[in-house]
Amino acid sequence: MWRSRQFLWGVALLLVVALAPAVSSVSAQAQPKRGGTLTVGISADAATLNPFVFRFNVERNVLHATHETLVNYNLQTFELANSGALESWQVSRDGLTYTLRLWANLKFHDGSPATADDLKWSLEKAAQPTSGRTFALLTLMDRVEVADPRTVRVIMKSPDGIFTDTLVDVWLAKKDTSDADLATKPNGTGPFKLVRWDRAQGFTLERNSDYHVAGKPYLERLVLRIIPDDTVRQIQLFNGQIDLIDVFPVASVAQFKLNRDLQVYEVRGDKAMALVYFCLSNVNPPFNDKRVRQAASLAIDRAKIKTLLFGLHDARGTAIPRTSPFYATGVADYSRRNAARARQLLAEAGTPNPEFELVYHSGFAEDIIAQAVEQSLRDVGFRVNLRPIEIGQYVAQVLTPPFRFQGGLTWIVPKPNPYDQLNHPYGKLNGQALQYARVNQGFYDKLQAARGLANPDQFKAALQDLQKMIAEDQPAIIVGGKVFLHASYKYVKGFTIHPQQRLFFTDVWLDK
Amino acid sequence: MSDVVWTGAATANWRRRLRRFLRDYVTVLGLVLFGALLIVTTLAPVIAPFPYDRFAGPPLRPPGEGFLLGTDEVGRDLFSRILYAGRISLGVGFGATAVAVGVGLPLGLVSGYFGGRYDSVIMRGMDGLLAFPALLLALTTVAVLGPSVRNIIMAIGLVSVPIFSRLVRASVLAFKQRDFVEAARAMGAGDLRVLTVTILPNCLPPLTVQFTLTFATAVLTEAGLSFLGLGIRPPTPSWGMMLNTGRNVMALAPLYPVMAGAAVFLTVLSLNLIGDGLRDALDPHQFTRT
Repeated sequence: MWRSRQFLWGVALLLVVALAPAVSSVSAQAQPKRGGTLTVGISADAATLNPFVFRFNVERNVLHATHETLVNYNLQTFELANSGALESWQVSRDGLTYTLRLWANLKFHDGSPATADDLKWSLEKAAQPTSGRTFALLTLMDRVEVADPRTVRVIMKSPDGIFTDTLVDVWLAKKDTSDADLATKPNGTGPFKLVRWDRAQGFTLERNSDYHVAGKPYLERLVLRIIPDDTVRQIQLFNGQIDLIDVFPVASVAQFKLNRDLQVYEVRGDKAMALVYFCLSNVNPPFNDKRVRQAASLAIDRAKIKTLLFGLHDARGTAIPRTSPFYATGVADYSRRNAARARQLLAEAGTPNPEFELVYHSGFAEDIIAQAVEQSLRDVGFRVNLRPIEIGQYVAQVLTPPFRFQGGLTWIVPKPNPYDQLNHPYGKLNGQALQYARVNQGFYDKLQAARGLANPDQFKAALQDLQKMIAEDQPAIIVGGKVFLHASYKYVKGFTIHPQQRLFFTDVWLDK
Repeated sequence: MSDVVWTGAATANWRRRLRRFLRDYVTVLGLVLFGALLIVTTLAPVIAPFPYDRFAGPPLRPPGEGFLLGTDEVGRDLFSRILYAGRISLGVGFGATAVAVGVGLPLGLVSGYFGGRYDSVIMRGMDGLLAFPALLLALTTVAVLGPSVRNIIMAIGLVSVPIFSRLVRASVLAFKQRDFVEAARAMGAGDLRVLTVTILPNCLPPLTVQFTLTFATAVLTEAGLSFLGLGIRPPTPSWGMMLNTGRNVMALAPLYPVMAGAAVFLTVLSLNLIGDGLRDALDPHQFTRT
């Protein structure tokens, strides 16, 4: 009996010794390590770091390091989460008063505390016409009142169903900061402080020790290195010069996945918020004729584009995906090509061979999409002149008055809610470029009215009516859903891909 | 009497030069290579199995299944695209060189013959152009004017104008004091006749050599502009653009950038070989007049 006990103790000891490394490694994996420098390859430089007027994704990603939006999305559920500057938010029963409360220990990078006055100023700034991204979304905001040092009350002119969602795009900035300082000297409450901005080279940021979330960020330094060329970015990642990249050629996905040291992050299918977007001038020929717009949409071979992009493209012709409960059934389906009908429409319009210039900002995938669009339009009689341009030129020509363009191909990233999935492509900046309001102001009246609908069924019905209008008029063409890809070394932990391609580094740590 | 002697001696000289030119195997290789390139690119609509802009098959396929060199990123036949791109590249190369000659030649003639203020103004202008790196100047010109075949020809031609103007000026300076020029003046020939009938033919040998070398540089510059995205617009093929796109898919389709690069390499090499051969054959120290 004594020997059996000995034997059992021996087995137990053996098990402990054998399992201890595994247990300890699991424990170690679960524990983020503090310190280290993460170097990220980004595709372009920023033109401005003003959180109220920025236009490019790259600018927003730098801002996510230095500033905070008022709220964020939970990336699993796409519901609003208090991982931004607001600790909480409440809406009154009549929908006319919102109470927004800041976290207790928020500090700007200059050491000053963030207060309700700063919040009030930020909201009012975001509601100004110069704040292109948020102005149209805050038109129902009447005034902002300071309730206590951490709380404001936002009084609405009428109920606004998307107000809290809009707060994802409102950034907290220090009161009375000049536009010049906003643009070049970011002073936010974000997890990182900007140390240096070397134009065309990159951004160097260091950990904000006063960040309001205890223990975060884990990284000591964050370097955002500007590498415009996709291939060079890829090479630098493979060589270990950078740890994570935001965009790489779709043709290289297989190569990345075969590399045992790398991990690929992707957002696919209906979760891919980004859309490949064909912006049409509704007032300039040839797309001032609805039939020509419909013909173009029917002619595009979306399935072919998916093949050409190695399956990394969602072949759909609507902004709201089919699987969404808000999707309007029974409307014209543009996801499947119908060349015969496209030719018929052009003949009915009296323009069997409409000619136009299609501008697009060049990149590997963008070139493929543009040429595929050109080919499929040419097959039905369009004469397309492709002109690849830089993103800055695209913004200047397509998104800036007097909107001197006929067709523009780009990608857009609406927020993951059905209202913004309509508002982003057909309203806001893109809506101005389309000039669709000159064709159908009723659409915008209905879009505005939908915001105030508190009844969910009425809200859904309104969005479906709007989709029917768009399906009929095709003011812009949705070429498909764009799949985003990031890649990093496996020692980069805690990074989660965002469906809007926003880069957050608060939770990132290095396991090396 | 001098014309008869000159014609006879000149004819004998030219025959000797031609023999010398054709005796150089490397030069003949260049001629054959360029000739072949010229023929296949000219006959591209006949030789190419597919139109250059047709999506003929699956993307990035290796050679086989009817595609001699495989397919590109959107499924177009690579072989057809390389052939058609050759028409663009050779056309741009020739056009740009012709522009450079067309502008540089008269400037050089005027500058060298009349001298004085004409010379100062023209040559200072050429110095100004030469101060800019050629590719940068071409890039800037295309960026301002817009990327079209015509504008690319103008841009590349512009950067090569100083080369021809200085070359012609040097030849004019060397010949304008010669006896036969004086004789022509004495016989009543005006400046225009002296320039075009008496002096210009003697400038042709170095001009011919420079033409081939500038042609090669122009092809390379066009490829560079297309590589940088300021060249020919898609879907029209260009070797430089194919190089740029091909490098993104090198792991999947290595032939794509390699063949585009090889086409540029062979064209530039053949032109340089011809130019070197011409330079040797036309070297005036090899022959004496009788």
